[in-house]
Amino acid sequence: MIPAGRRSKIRPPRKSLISSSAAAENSTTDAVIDFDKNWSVLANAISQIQNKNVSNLSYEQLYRKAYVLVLRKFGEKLYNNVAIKIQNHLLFKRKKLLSNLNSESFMSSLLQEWDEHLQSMKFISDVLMYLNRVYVKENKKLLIYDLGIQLFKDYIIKCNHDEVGFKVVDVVLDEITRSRSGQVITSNMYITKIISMMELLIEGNEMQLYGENYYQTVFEPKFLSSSGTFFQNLSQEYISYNSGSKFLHLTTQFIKDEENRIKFYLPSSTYPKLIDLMNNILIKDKLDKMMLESNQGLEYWLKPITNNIFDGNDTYHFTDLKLAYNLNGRFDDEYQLFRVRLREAIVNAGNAFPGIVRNSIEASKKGNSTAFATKWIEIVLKFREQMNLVWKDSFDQNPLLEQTITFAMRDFINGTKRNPVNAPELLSIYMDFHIKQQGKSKEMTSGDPTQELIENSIQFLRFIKDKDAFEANYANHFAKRFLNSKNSQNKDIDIEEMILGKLSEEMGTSSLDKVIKMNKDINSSRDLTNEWKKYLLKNTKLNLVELDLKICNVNDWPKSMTKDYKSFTKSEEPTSFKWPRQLRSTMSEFEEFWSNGKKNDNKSLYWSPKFGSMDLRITYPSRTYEFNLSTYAGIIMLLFAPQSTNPDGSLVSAFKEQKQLTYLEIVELTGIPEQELKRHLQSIAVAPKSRLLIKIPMSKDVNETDVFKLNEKFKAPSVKVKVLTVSSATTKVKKVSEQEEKEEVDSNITEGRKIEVNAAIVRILKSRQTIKHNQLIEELIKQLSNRFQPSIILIKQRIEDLIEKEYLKRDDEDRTLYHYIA
Amino acid sequence: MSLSSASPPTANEEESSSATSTVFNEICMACRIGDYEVVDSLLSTPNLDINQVDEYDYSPLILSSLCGHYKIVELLLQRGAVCDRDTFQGARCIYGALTEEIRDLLISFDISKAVDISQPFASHISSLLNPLVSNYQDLIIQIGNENLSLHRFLLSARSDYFKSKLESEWEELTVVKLNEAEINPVVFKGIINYIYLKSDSIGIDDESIQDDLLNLAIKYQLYDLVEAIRQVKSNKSESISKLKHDLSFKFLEKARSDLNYFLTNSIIHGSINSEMNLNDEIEFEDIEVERYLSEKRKSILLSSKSIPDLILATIDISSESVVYYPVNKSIISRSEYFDTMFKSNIFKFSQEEDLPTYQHDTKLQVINRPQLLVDNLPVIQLSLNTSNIEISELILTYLYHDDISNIPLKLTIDLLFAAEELLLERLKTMCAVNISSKFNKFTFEELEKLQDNLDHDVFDLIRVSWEARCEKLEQHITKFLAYNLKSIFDNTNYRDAFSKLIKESAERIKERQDTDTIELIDDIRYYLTKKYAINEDTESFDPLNFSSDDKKDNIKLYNNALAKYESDIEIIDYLLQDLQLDA
Repeated sequence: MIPAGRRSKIRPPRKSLISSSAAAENSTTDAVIDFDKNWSVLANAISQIQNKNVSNLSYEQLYRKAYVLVLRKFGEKLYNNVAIKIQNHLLFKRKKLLSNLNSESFMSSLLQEWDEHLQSMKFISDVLMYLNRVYVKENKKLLIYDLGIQLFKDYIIKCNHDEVGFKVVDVVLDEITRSRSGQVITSNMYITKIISMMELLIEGNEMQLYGENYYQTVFEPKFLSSSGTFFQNLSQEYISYNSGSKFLHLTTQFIKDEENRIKFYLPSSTYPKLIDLMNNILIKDKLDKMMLESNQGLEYWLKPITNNIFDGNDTYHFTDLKLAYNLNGRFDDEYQLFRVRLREAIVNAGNAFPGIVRNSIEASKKGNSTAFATKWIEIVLKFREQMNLVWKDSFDQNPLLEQTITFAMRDFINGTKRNPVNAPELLSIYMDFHIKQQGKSKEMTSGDPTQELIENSIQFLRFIKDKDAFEANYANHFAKRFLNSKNSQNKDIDIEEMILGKLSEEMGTSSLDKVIKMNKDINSSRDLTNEWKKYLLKNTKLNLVELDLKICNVNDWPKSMTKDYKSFTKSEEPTSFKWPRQLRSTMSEFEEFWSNGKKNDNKSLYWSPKFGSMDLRITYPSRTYEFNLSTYAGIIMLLFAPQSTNPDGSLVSAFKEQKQLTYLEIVELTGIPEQELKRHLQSIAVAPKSRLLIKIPMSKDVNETDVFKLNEKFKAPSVKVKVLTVSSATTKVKKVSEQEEKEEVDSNITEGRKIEVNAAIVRILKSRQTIKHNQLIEELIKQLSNRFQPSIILIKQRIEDLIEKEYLKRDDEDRTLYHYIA
Repeated sequence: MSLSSASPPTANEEESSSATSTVFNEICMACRIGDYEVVDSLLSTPNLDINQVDEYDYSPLILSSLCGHYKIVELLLQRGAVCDRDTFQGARCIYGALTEEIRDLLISFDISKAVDISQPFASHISSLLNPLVSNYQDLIIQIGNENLSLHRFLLSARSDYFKSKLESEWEELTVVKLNEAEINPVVFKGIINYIYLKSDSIGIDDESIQDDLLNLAIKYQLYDLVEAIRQVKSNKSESISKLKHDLSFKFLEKARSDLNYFLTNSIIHGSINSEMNLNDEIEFEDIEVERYLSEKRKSILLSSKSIPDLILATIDISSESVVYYPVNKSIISRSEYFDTMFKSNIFKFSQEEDLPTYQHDTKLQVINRPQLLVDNLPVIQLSLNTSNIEISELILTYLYHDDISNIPLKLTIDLLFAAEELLLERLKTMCAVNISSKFNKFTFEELEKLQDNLDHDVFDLIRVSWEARCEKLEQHITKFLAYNLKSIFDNTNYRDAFSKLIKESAERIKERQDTDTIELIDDIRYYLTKKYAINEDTESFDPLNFSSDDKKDNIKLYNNALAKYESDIEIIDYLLQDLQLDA
């Protein structure tokens, strides 16, 4: 404020308002002088800042120079001048920078220039704060500091076709390559700093930044391509050792080192890209080859498992398996490659088991299916146990891998065309063997062996695809076990009941229908026996033979056993079977009891001597023995029982009677079918431990001319003697009967399947009403796979069958479409 | 901000308080019925708070605004009634205004509209207490395990007790140890929080320390704190949070008056005026203020009562002298300009000596005040736009306590430029409000008075608003132009000046981007539609301003207004055509 009258010596600041309105035209030159004067101060200050000589600068003076210039509308000119000033300074620095020949000193000088530049830009930007706040903001330019970074990029890094930029990238890449090759490098800090510098150099111009930075546009592509080349060479080297194990260890170690290295240098955005590259080149392309083709591949890593099952003492290759698993997991979290190869390897190993088993079975037992079944199943179960260890140790307990192992085992257990294994039958045999084994052992064992048997069986059953086949076989074995057993001991029944319970749990009661029905017969037989005994006591009929009843509903039991059930009825035919007189009163007494039973209306009772056994007490000169023998054998022995009486009415000793019977006489007296008779005669007259009769002449085979008499010299170590029945006299007969049995089981399976497929088709159509052929097949396989693998041919046959029975019909137009007929 | 209900009357005050409450009720009634004379006479009643509210939460300002008494609203605003849009009461007042005129009036008095929340006074003071940021602390008070890094000047300004201590025993100390046995550290921290306006953390309602706090407040002669604690202690009925809120407002007011006292008595009173003794003419911009301060005088400033760490200088052109104010960086750094300066390394390097510091522990570092030398005291020119002591002192007032009650009209424009230079957005708004509230009728008469009162005519004021980047002022002055278009057009001088301004506005736009709009013209058109209540979309009249049974008059008025509107638009089109502009 200048008071009127006296004029101050201080010339007041020119108000820019006046220059723009009233006095605007009169002096543009004045304004230029103004600019030059103020700019020269600022330019000088910028030089001093860039030369790190700021001690005699005054912040407020400089701020005000810039303020005045902006206020007087020189914002743009000032901005551009500042840019040119910085640009010139940088071009000068660039020359000096390029004179560095040594790569490390080049890196350090570049970084020094960068740091100094940022520092001076901070100063300059402080001083030009008003320019930033007003001109830059209104005109949407880059802030002075950001402008400085842009200029550094344009006039140091990218100048002359990226001369400095490419050079520094090359130097850094060289250093990284050296570090990868195992050399210790001292430039780590430089590399980190250079990379963070490049990240700040954002592409763009004076107005705007585009977001992509120099690191992303230049460094990263170059880095990835040079890394690719390096990895290629490296993996070639690793492969050249032709050892899967070595490949795994080297690759894993390198990846670990590389990860540490790049974590140190690289921004996180590059990290996944490099990892991908590394996974692709080092692992993905090579892992399969190394697992399959090299020495020490997957087969080698799994070998100890098989070896150790057969008493080997091999070192496991858990680590290798783990490394291979982990490497696969690096590029595929579903581990597909590894799983496919593992499955193949397991199937191969498993397919070799039958051969190994056959070789290990003693020559004497060759061809014995029981020996094979038990051994094979034991091996498979052991293998599973071992694989479980591997899974825990090497595969992180990954459920996917568990599934793979299960599938692979299912593959070899169920066999292929080249490696046929009848697993359902074998399992049934295995179980049959062990159930009998446990029935035999005298002491009441603790539940463990039974539990173990059940667990093993169920475990194995889960691998079996054709569960219906197992059921059929099991039913057959079950029937035989019952009918052939001496008597229904409680212990046996317990085991059977337990197993049956578990199986029902596992497969559902409906599929075990047959066995359950048979089991019902067994239970009712036991009850009937008790009732019969009570009845006898009540009616004081004590002079009868003791009966242990096994009464079977013909329909529920295997046909091979029941087919000739009617052929043992009392008949007058000379060749027909004749029940011994000693049994007849008991039989008729029971028949009366039976037919009076309320439950047995409309049921007929047939006696079958083919099954069951007989207990006889025979007094030999040495002592009196208690024999347990088959029904047929018992009937034969009864022929030698004394028939005449002493004068006192007591029976004459059989040995005094000196009864001799020829083979033909026996045939006539008993009516036992020829094959059976010969077999049982062998059991009681030829087999050395149970030579109850003497055959004349003494020979192995039974001929029609042979004569039999009681063996006076019979001796046995204990009172109780169990006479074992010799297996069918000729292998041919045996073969035939076994064949018959097998065929029956198979036909049961086939018939069962037909019914199940039919039921399933009807079920599906009932709910859908209309369905396409392919859809139907798909649905069927889905529904039935739990029980068995239906063949397409079978399904087609069943469809035709149902069309015939008018359950469904084809669409008139579209032949692949089926309709349900209600 | 109501205060009356917050203070329960004590026994001996009851009479006078009931008297004022009667007066307040009378004012409220007068505001309802619009009795200007009664309001005017009652406003001079002592102890009357015109911002209090009645039982329905109505303040006199809301009542008069709601009932449409323009003159009373104006009177209340001039007498200190506050309309702050950021408060519930303020917003209610503006929305409830019966007429556009009253609303505009209220808005023109609304201070908070463009308040920059990063700058308010209280938050700045309390932010100084952050021990992790260097805020030019120059004293450590150690009590128990507590190490508080503090500002001598603030302690001195806020408490006479500390003032005398700092002028005697503590003067040569950097670390002051207080006896934990005598003073509870928690209580002492409460006192410090009071001084630094962390009003929520004083602990006045914490019964475990209340008594100790009271005793210590008495010892430190903090009488409003003493009063406040007594109020809280005797408080039975009222909600404590409301009471605390009211008290924190009182503390703020006390701090303002403390700092005002400090500014007046320690800084302005302690300032030194140096004759420049010029022989030749010199450009204002070329003056180096430091040259005119002798070592001796500088050392007087160093030991000034304001405990300064910075000297701000102002050139007074009329007396050809420089005035030096001993000030405090922690306050001056409220200006972003100064803050950047202090933090910039250039400023630090240009200090002749490094500041002596005292490193207390790994975290705590303060300025070692007793070792501060003359050379450590920078001398900086306050503002290039300030060649007047009065303006400098207004700026200091703003920085020290925000409270500029009266800006002389003549100085407003210079103050506006200074505020722009120092990047004080809120002060700029205050300057704009100072103009808009005093020239709010938009008559031609008022327009002509602008030149005399502000040294700038209406056209130059537009330019000022452009250069100082003050949108609030630009809008207000543009409205002036719109409302007086005809009169301006009829006066040749004005018409030429107006044309020139339009041209400049067109060029301003071109500088930035290539669009065909002229901001000034767009704004004027907008205010014309406002003036004639024309709805731009439907060109229909706003029916709310007229009663519906007066349809004939309505149509007449409407046609009348429309005609005037169209004639004004023609004027603009004519001027644009004349300037060969298109917009």
